[in-house]
Amino acid sequence: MDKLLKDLLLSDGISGYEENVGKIMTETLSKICDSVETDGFGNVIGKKGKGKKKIMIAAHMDEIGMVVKHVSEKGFIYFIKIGGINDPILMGKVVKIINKKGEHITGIIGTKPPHLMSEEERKVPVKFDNMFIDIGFSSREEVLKVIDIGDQIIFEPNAGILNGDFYYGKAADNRISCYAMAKVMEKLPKNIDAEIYACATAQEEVGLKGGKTSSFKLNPDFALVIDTTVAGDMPGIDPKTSDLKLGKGVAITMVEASGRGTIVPNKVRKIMIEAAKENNIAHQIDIIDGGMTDGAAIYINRDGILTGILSIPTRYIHAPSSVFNIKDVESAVELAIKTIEKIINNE
Amino acid sequence: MSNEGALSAQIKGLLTQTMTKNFFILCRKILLSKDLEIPLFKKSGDSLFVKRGGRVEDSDGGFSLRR
Ligand SMILES: [Zn+2]
Repeated sequence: MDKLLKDLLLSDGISGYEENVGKIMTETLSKICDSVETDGFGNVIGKKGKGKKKIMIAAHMDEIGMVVKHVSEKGFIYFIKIGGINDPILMGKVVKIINKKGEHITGIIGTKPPHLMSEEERKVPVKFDNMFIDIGFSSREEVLKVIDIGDQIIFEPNAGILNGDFYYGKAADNRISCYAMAKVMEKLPKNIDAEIYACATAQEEVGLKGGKTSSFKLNPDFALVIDTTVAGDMPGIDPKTSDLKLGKGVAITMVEASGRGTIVPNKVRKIMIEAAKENNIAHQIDIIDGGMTDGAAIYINRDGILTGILSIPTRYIHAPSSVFNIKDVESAVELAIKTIEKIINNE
Repeated sequence: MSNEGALSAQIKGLLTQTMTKNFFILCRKILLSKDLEIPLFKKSGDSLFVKRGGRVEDSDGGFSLRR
């Protein structure tokens, strides 16, 4: 597994706590770009090339997770969720609480054994605010010596190869796109005839915030968002809900959240599909009912920013570990480059 | 990719940002039409505080005017 990809998947950074993943992006982009800065919001922005057009690539670097809310008398930790997490997925998971020193404190989300549950309790899923984290101390005082209220909590870091091109990892949403964005910047020629900005955005999972502030600042002629989308090739998902398959190429997203998210302009759809077809890049079409990307904030920013979205199909997003196909990441990189070239040469 | 939960956060964020004078007037109209006491609106930073009968009804900066 590529080192950068692995480092990004293992790194920590729930929304608003992106410093560490931001450091990896800064280090990486510094080697490839003419300049790199971290803006006031926490977005990391690398710039490459000179020319009339301004093109922005955006990939969010935050992951879903939790934040320490309260420590009980007996030393159990209560938390709030950051980003969309389905409560039952939390039960029994191993998590890391990251303290002010940057130490990863291991915790277990405790569960009541089925032996002690009433018939009624067994039927009703436990809500997150009734869950707690056990880090092996017996009092609040002891716990507060190790962690603080407000510390971030992530799922136990994991990343690797399942089989062949099938990879897995924590925070695949959206570190695989941060990786793809870095690869795009690396592969674009140094003397490219446009200003290309690679923007690793903060706080996407909690309201598409970094995409909004950074696109306002950059005011690009074109924005290309790279994110993950929901793959449908697993048990329990009807093809009419999602027909996206791992290994069949990057998805060109056209409509998000039934139109409440981005509706990609026809002009952009046409350019992206042409770019894919002309260069024989594996691709699929993504029309999604229930999710959206930074694109939704970018394309309604200022007086409307022309925006396209490349989505990498991923299984089990917003879970402790997701599965993706490295070939789809590669086709995302290729199609991003060809789309950008087409945008530069257009008009 | 962000899901619906984040969407409502976004809408809430947008509403907070777009709480203009007209928006206040609209809220006031709605409450008046419901024959409620005249509410007192106060804008403080990004938050909208709604007071009725001297009691703070909601002060989370969001759009949930509880009755
Ligand atoms: Zn997401």
